[in-house]
Amino acid sequence: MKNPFKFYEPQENQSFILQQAENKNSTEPEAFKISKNLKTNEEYIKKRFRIPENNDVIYRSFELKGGKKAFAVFIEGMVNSAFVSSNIIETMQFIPFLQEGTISIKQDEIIEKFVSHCQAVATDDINQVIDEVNFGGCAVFVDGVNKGFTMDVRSWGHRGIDKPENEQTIYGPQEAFNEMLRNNSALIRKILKTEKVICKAIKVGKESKTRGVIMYIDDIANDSLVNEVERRIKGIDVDYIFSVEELGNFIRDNKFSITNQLLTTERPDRTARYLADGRVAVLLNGSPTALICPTNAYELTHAASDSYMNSVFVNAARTIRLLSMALSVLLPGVYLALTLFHQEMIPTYLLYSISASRENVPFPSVLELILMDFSFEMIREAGLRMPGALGSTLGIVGGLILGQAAVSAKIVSPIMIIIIAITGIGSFATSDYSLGWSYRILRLIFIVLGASLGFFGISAGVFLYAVYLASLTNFGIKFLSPLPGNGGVKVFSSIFSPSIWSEEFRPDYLHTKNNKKEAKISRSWLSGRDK
Amino acid sequence: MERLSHKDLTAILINVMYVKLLLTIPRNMILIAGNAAWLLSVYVTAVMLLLFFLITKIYDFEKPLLDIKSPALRIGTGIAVSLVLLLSMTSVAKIYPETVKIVLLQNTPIEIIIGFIAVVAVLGAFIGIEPLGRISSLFQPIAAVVMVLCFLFLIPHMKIGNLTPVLGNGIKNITVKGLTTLYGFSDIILLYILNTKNENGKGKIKAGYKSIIIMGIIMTVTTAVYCLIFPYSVSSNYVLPLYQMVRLIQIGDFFGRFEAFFEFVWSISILLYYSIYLYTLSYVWQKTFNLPYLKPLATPFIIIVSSIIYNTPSFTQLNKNYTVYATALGVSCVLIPAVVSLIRRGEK
Repeated sequence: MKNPFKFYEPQENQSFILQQAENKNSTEPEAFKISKNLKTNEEYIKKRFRIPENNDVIYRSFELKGGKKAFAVFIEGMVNSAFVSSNIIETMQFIPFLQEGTISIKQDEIIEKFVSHCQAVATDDINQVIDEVNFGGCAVFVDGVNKGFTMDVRSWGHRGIDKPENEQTIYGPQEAFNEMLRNNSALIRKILKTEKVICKAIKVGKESKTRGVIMYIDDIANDSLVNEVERRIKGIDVDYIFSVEELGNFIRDNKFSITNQLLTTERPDRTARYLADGRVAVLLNGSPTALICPTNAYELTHAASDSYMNSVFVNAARTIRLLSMALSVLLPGVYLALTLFHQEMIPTYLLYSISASRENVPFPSVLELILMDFSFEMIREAGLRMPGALGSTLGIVGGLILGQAAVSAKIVSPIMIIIIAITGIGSFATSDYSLGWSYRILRLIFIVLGASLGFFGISAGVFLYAVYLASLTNFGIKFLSPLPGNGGVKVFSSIFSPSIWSEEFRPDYLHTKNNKKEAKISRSWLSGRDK
Repeated sequence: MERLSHKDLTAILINVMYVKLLLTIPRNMILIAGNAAWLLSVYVTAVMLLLFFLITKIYDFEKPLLDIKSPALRIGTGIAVSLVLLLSMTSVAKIYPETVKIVLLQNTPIEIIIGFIAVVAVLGAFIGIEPLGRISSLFQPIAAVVMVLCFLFLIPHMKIGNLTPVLGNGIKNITVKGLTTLYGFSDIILLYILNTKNENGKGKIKAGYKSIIIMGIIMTVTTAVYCLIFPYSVSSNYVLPLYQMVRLIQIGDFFGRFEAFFEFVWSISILLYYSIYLYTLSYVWQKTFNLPYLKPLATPFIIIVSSIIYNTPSFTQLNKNYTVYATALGVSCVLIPAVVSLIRRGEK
């Protein structure tokens, strides 16, 4: 045991300071051509994968039936070991054909005749082989063959197809995307069931080479829209990219925006609907969401459940949602404007009640509001980071006990608790999470405007925000599309939901190849066409 | 310059004309025609339609207003147009901050109100005319709903007897003096200045007719409602007739102050007006002097406008010079396109 009263010289290894590393830009690997000499290939592969330093990269050499040498390389945990053993190593060990004298003329037939695996490729591009191994493939090199063989044996741990967590509905399918690209594209294909759905492969990130797909329906989506999405994605120059949301932030039109302009969904049915409208979806491996391009300001306020209900009920729900969103942004600012500048607008008895409740509160209304709003945001953030059960407990502790205590201690007035509670509930009604953040920032701006210039400040804020929204674009369409000038009815049907049988056309701002969605009289028995 | 759709241009024209209706027009009509203000409104609308019809016969709408080959004539026209726009803008810009101070912000210094309006107007102009056009289109149905609601709630206050005598202050006042109220349509000058996406003269002519007719209807209904509510002589005393009307609205005991909605519409309309005018002024200046950019001009122009309104007497005193500025605005909106057509013919 160390003597606590004695000074010990610090040892060299105890005082580690992270030094500046040698600046090394990521460089292209040296050019290499797959050789007929197995030893050369082996040395290159070992160097490239840093074997044996890399513990999970498996190098396995084996001998074919005629005595010829070969080796396989794959990453443990990313492949199905049973497949590698039975479909690759075992099969190859018994290929009688791979013997001296016959191999050079038959090398292109190896996969066709002897590899019993569904996805296998022979290539002379070493980078393609390396990419496949990095993405869960198994590469095989055979002595005397100047090609590499890659087999898709990827199999790694992943979630199953669960229920959607953020876009729950009572009606409609209950499936959500997971982190597997092919699962996700298959879920969409399963709904659309047409060969016109195109899944164009993309790779993003110079190092990560994250795989993804651009999905669209060939005879509906505008080609220039598809090309633009592809052009932007191909133009991303970054080492690593991990999620579709990051990708969205790269490819969006406006670099800095206080409003969310990205529509992402975790629901395959919702994605399929957008594709059927003529939009483009981007899926990325490892992301349980699809990015929809383009979108407009109105669609961000829609919910997944809207598609499955009678339009009357949907419109009632949307009205409540829009009012809730408006309240979550404007209510605190309007309250301050009313109490600080326009008291004459408050009915007398309500004014008495408000002033009586504020009688012993030491802070001015603005400070009181900002204090409560900040506390509410703290509780919300903390609730999100806590495990499920603790999160709800925190909500009760924060909301009920803290609120009650603050009122009893006369730090805040009861009316302020009501204002913050309505604002908070309103913000939870926002269907898009990022839009919720945008509204939180706007709320602060409106608090400042309402507190400094009353209703006039709030009107000016609404005016500037509206003009700002109108100036934004999203993949070649105006963010406030459909343009009000092109017919108020279209704006109305964008904010509210028309009946399913009256949606004759696809959104005209998407300029689709086929604008007609359904017949003029889609319920044909009404026109007698069914006879 | 950004280009507008014809519908957005119509919305912009209606909005800027509507602002004058919100502030001064009904009172000036009452002062001239008495109870027959609504008749005067019908009359000036008809006169304006006739004048516009005559302009369409001589003016080439496919060319922008300042498309004049001779630099001297272009600069002369540009300066004349700028002065008209400045006059029109300052007349509103003077009234609005004072009204905001009286009605909404009694304890806030007028300098702060003017400064804030200036900042908002510059930001609006900086964002561009296309978003302003779009917001004008989007905002109009909201403004229309609020106006209709106001009028519906005012029905209990209306008395048909207030409309008599039908010819108010006399036929001469309506037909001769009443012509000064043509300035209510003076903002039609923007039609000749602003560019549209499809440089199609017919679309612009349609936008002109539409905006004059719609504005005429709104003006007639508003003045008629005002006349129906307040008997003459009382009606001539109120500086802001529309605001005075909406103050009468009572919906039960709780919603006693409906004017909050009105003030919201009022503020947004006027801020749109400021930004649109500021943008147009900058554009005229850019075209006149062949400048590469127009948006940086918005700041110096708002400083000029703010300085003018800060250093001129109160708008009630300005009303004494009503005839001069109303005539100047009313005449210029007809004269400028006519003169430009003559210049273009001379150049041919």
